[in-house]
Amino acid sequence: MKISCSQCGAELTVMETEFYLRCPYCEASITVTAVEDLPFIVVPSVGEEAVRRLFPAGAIAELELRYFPYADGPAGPLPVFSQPFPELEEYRPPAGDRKVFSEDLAGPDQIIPIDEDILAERELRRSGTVLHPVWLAMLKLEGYSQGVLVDGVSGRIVGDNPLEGETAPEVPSRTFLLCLLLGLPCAALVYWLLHAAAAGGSAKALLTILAAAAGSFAALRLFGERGAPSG
Amino acid sequence: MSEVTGAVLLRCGECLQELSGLADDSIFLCRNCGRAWVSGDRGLTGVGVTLLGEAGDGMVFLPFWRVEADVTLHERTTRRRSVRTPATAPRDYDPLAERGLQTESGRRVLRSYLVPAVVNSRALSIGVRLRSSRPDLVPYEGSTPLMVGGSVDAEDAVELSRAIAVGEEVARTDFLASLDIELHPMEVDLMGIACRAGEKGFEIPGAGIVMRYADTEDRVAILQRNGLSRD
Amino acid sequence: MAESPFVTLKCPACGGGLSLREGETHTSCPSCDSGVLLTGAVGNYVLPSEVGSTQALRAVRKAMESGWKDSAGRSRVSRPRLFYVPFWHISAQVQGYVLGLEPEVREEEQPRPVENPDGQSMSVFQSTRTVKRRVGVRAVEREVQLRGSVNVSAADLEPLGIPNLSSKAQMSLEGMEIQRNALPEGLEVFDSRVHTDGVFVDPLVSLSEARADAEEYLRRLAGGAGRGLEQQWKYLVFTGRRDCLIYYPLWVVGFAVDGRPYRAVVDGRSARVLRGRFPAGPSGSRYIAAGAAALWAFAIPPLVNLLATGTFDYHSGTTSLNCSGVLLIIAGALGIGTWQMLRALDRMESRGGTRHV
Repeated sequence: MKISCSQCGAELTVMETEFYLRCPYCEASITVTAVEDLPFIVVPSVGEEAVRRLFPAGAIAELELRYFPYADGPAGPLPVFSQPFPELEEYRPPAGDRKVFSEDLAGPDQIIPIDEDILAERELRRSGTVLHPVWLAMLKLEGYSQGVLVDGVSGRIVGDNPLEGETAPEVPSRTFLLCLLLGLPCAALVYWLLHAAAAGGSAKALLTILAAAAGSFAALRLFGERGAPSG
Repeated sequence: MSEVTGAVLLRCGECLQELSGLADDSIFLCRNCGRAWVSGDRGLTGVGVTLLGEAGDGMVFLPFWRVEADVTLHERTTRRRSVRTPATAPRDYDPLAERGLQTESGRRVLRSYLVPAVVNSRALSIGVRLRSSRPDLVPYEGSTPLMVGGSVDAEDAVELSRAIAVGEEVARTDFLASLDIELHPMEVDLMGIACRAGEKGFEIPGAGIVMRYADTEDRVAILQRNGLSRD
Repeated sequence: MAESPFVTLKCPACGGGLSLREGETHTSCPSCDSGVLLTGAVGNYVLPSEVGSTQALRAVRKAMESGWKDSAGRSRVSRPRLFYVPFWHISAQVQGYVLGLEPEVREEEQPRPVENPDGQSMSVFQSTRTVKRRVGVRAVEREVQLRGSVNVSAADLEPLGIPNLSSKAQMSLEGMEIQRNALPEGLEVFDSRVHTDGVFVDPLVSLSEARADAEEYLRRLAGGAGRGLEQQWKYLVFTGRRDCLIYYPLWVVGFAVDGRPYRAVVDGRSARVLRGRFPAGPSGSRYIAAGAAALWAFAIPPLVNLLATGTFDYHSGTTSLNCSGVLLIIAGALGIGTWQMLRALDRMESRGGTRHV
C-alpha cells in the first residue's frame, strides 16, 4: 500500500499491518488507521530513574521504553507479537491503567508490531489489543552488551538478571588464608621434627617447602572449589 | 506477515490466451488480440499500446514507454565556462559572477518522452537523443507481432523520464551547474517499435540511434526469441 | 554475476512445484506447462535452519567447556529457541548525472631560495623544487549508472548482543551467511504452512525506512563518480527495485552455571556460536594465592625460630647472623606486598568471572 507523508509528501510503501509509523525522510509520526481500529495503551507506572536503580551505577548503556501488544485472553493476557525475547514467552504482564491510543503517548519507534497471523489465528481484533510498557535496558558487561527487560507497571525484571547469581565469586584472600591454615601446620610440623632430629639446613629447607606446598594445595582442593555442582 | 509472494496464471484478461515473454519481463503483448499487459503488485493491468514500423527480415519489435509529462523548470543555473584563476586584483565581489554562475527560472512545458522498456545501461542518453531525433514511423499494419524484453515498469519509466529531462538540460551547449525541475506524468502508455537487429545493436529506424548490445542486458534472449542470433 | 538463488513456489493450476530465479517474474510450470506470474510487492524468503536444537545445545556445551572444562556438570540448560530474524534486502538500479568542477593543476619547477653561508642573505642557486599550482577549474558533466544492493537489519538484535546490520555499519557479521550487500544463497519462498519450526520475528524497521537507509548508501556509491569534484550537484533516480524480506535462523540458548544466568546465540546455518556470555571458570588467581600461602608457611617457622634463638638456620653451617632486625624488616615488607597483591586479586575477581564470544 502506498501513502504520502502528510508532512513532506514523500511516497512511502506501507505494509497493511502497520498502523503508526515514522516518515524516514522528515521524521514525522503518521497514524495510518481509523481511530476505532487503534489499540489501547498502558501508561508506565515505573519511570526511568526507578529502572536505573535496579542495576549498579554505570551498568546501563542505553535505556528505552517499548510497548508490547497483548490481547485479553480467557486465562490472562496473550502476547500478540513475535520478537526474539525468550523471557517473554511465559510472561503474563500485570494489568495497568488503560488509555485510548494517541500520538503523544508514544512514538512509532517504541511500538512493537502486532503479529497479524496471531490475531487471525485467535480471531482477535486490533482494537482489542493493549500495548503494555516494558523498559529495555542494554547492559554493558565486559565489552559485551545484553538487553534486560523490566516491566513498566510492576518495575520487576522479566527473566533472569545477568548481574546476579547465588554464589559469590571466589575471593583470593580467603583462598590464601585457607591454604595458610593447612599449609602452616604441615610446614611447622616437618620443621620442628627435622629440628629435633638435627637435620642439615638445606635438607630442612627443602622438606619444609614441600610440606608447605602439599598442605596449601591440599587446602585448595578441599575448600577452593566454587559452589556446589548443580544438575 | 506482510505482503506475501504468490503466483497467478499468466493469461490475457481479454481473450484468456496464454501470454509469454522472457524470464524477467513485466510487459506482455497478447499475440491473439493485441492487448498489452503489465504485471504489478496485484497481477496484470491492461495498458494501451501503439505499434510502429515495418516488420521484416532482421527486424525486432522492442517496447518503449511513452510518457506525456508536465515539466516545470523552476531554476536553471549555469557556469559561464571553465574559469581561469586571474592574477589577484581587487574588484567588486559578486558571489555568483565570482563563480561564473548565472540563473534563469520559471518555464513550464508539456513534453513527450520515449523511454526504452528494455533494460539498457545507457537508457538516459538514448532517451535524451530520442527527444531531439524522434523517429518518424508509419503505424504498423499486420497481425500482432512478437514483442519481448520489456522489464521496466511504468513507475520506473516515469522516474527515468525525470532523469532524461535533466539529461536534456545537461546536453545543452552551456555548462550546467544545478537544476530544479519538476515532472508530472499525464499519460503513460506503450509503443512497440520495429528496430533492426544490426551488427552493433538494435537500430531505431529514422532516428540514427543504436541501442548497443553491450548495454542491453537481455540481448541474447531477445534475439533468440525473435529467431535471430548474434554472429 | 554470481549464481542467483532458486526460489520454490506452487503452481496455481496444478499445485506442482515451480522454481524461479531471483528477479524472474514469471515461468512455465514444469508439470502442466501453464504460464505462471509471480505477484506480491515484496517477496518474503526464508533461509531455512540447518541446525537442530540438539546441535545448538552441543555447540553451546562445547563453547562452555572450552573455557571451563568442568562447567557442563554444573550447568542447567533451558530449551533452545529458534527465531527467524528479518533482514531487508534492498536492491536498485541507480542512474543519473553528476555535475561539478574539476580543478586543473599544473606542476611547475620553481627556483628554490637557499640561505647563504653568511646567514644574512638568500640567493637563488641552480636547485629547484616541483610545485603544484592550481590554475583553474574545468566544468564536468558525468552520467552515472550502477546496480547496487544492501542488507539492512529489520529487527533489533542488540539485546541478543548481535550488532545491527545497516548501510552505515562498516563491519560484517562474522559467521553469518547474510553479509552487507549480497543476496544469500539457498533461499526458499516463505510459506507459513511449511515453515513452522521457529518463531518468525516481525520487522521493526519498515520497508520505507530500509529503502531510505539503503538509498543513502547507494547515493554515496553513485556519487563516487563525482570524486574530486568541487561544487558537486547530482541528480539520481532509483529504478528496477528488487527488494525482499529475508528470514534468518538464530537459536537462542539460555543456561545457568552455579545458579548464574548466561545466554548464547547460535547461527542456524553454520551452528557457530555467534555471541554468548560464558562463565570463565576458576582463574589462575587461586593458584597465586595458594602459592603465596605455601611460601609463607615455609617462611614462618624459621622466622619464629629466629625470633626465639637469634639464628637463621636454613643456611647450612651455624653462622649466627646478627641481622634479625633486617630480616624482620624484610619479612614485614614482604607481608605488606603479599597483602597488596591479594587485595588486587580480590578486586579483579569481584568484577565477575565471565568471558564472551
